[in-house]
Amino acid sequence: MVEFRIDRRSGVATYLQIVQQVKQALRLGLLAPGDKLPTAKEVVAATAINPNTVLKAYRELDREGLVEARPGLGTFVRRSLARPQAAAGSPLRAELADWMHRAREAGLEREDVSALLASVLEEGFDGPAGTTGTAAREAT
Amino acid sequence: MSATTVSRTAAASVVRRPRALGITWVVRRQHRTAAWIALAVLAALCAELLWLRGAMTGYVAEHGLAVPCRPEGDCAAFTAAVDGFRLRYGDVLGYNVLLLEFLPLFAGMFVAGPVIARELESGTYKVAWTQSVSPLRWFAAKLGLPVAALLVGASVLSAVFTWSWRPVGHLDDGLLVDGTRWYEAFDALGPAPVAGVLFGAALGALTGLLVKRTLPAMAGTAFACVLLSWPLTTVRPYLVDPVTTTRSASSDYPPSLHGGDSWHYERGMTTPSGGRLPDAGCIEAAGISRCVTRHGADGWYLDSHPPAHFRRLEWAQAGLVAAAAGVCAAGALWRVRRLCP
Amino acid sequence: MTGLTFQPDRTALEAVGLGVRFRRRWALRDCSFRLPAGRVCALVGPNGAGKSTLLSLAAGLRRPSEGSLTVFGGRPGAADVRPRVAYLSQDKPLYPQFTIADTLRMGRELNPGRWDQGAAERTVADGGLSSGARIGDLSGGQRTRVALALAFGKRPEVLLLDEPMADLDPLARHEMTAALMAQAAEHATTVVIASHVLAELEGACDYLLLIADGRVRLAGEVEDLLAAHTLLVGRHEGPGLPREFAMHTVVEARATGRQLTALVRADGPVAGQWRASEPSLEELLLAHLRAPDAPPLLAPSAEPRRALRAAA
Repeated sequence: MVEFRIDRRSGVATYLQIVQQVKQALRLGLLAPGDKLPTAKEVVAATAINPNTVLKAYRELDREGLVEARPGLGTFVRRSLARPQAAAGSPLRAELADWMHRAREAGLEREDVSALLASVLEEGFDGPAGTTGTAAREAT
Repeated sequence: MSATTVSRTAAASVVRRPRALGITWVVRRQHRTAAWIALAVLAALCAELLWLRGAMTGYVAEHGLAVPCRPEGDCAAFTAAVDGFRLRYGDVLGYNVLLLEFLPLFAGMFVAGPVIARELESGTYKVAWTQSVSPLRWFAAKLGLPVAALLVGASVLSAVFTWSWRPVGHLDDGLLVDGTRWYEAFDALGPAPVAGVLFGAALGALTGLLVKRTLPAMAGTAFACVLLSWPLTTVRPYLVDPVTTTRSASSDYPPSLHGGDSWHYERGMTTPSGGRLPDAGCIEAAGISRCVTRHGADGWYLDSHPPAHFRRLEWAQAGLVAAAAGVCAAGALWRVRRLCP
Repeated sequence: MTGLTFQPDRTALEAVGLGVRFRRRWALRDCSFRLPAGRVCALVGPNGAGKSTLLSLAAGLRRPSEGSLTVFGGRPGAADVRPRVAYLSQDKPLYPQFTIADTLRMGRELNPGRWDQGAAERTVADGGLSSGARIGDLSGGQRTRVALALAFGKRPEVLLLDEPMADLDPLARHEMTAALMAQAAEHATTVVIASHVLAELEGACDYLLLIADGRVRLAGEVEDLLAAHTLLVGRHEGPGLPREFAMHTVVEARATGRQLTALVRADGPVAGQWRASEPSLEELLLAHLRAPDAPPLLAPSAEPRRALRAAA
């Protein structure tokens, strides 16, 4: 079961925050196929947001094929976003950890590393996937 | 699956629940404390009246006051016993009469006016009106129940008082209860307090509905009640045809306004053509018959009600007061319809 | 639980030419709007704008002076409408001598066949209140909770709340909003919350009704209303509005030094060197309150249907 944290001041639409948090949980393996998402009532009882916002987020996740709504039962996870290539102990992760170590030894601060990563990320994943965050807008 | 559980628990809770009373439950719960206090006061008053009747009839029997003293006999002991009776019970009777006379004022000022005005003033009516019952039904219960309780209470109190007063009310030509004779205790006897309470309640309700605030409603009700009691006492003797006695101007004195158990309420002069003139204070003039002749009159008349008129007068007045209550109630109903959205 | 709670085709509230006059002053004038069922609607406006008047009309406590307001197509206060509407007035009047249990019993006695004792008791218990407590001894926030329990117990289809959070601390405010949203999620209740504190509504409401000076200024889905407006920032050139604004509806334009900030209802793309962004809800509301002459905007879903039918 996941718990959503809604940040009203973030400027990111509330339903997108839920979508992103579900995806994050799927990536980290906190949610696995067959798991049940909290009902809209449970979510709004904890977060005090509009129930239609939760339902809109779930509909979005359903559209992306990540979850499915079973009438009368709830909303269930269909597939995971966890990649074995990104799991702890994977070669890719070990290489990145090694790179991070070298960057630190070269005298880079946390902010420097973060900026460098973001810029390489932008180059590597140029396209629609890169603009998801900026399309967000303040809405209920 | 969940539906069956829900319906089963609902059925179980229906069985456990007390009977549904609707709006009457709310009104009863609201005025529970006041109702118990009123009931206790009523019981105490009834007990007091029960004692009073016992004490008075006991005194009458002990001193033989039931049979008037013959003028030829020695009446000193009898007169002393009458004085003793009046000394002992005169004040108590007086206070009881006063209490019953103020019952209509009480009903309007402390019950019918505030029960509505307090709700309209504090806004609590909004809670009741936005549930599932209509405002009209709410008004009906809110006014109907307390007024019904008041009428029952007034009927009991009036009946018990009348029952206590009756054995001594007409003894020794009413002298025994001088100050609370039948025409003096008129508003405390028979149907008068009940009709009065009905009127007071209707007036209080109307005032409460009009001014919508508790204290002004109380003040307004009290003012209107006192104001309207004056025309009532003025018109009262004319509700039933009186017994008229006449006397010629040549006799020394005009007929007396005092004495006996009859209610002598109006004295005046008669003209030769059969017309009537006011008293004009001739009784205080040096030459009474000369004063009468100077006014162009030739005799005296005296209008009075003997005790036999008592019942007819009581019911005539009760009818009049009830009609006035009906007018107030109609006004209150009009106001309720105006207030109902 | 999978479909959206609002039902776009059902109408909860509909006003056509609605007006209310108090002696000489018009509290509401010429109000027309529609609220689809299942929405959580923020009724926003400055103090004295007519919010309370509108809610008391919908609750059946008052009659309109002109025009009409219907709740589920019926007259508010009609025998078949009254049981479906719950109302919390601003001062939350309850009988002070009653205990909480008495107050809930009153709800049951006055709502025969409708009352949900469990829901009412849960709302009270969630606030840590004991049912034997007297209403007169409760704090403002606790009284609000009992009033809300009374409203929930009625199982309303429309819940009208007049400044419900005014006397609540932040925690109680959050709990109460959460309880409201859970109610809306579970029963698809239409909720109308009047407030002049925007912070307590943002995120909870998906519909907006802005009234000022007794008139409707904005009505519609929050998303649609925000999308219909653009916040433009650019260089301020000389007096008057830039020529390229002419084809758009300018709600408000403010010049600070050389910078011009304008909220416009853009009709197509805006020419020129302008930094465009979508306004926040607060920016949208404040701009409309500062510019009382801006034309009102009703989203298509907020257009009254009876008026359309009458015109057709």
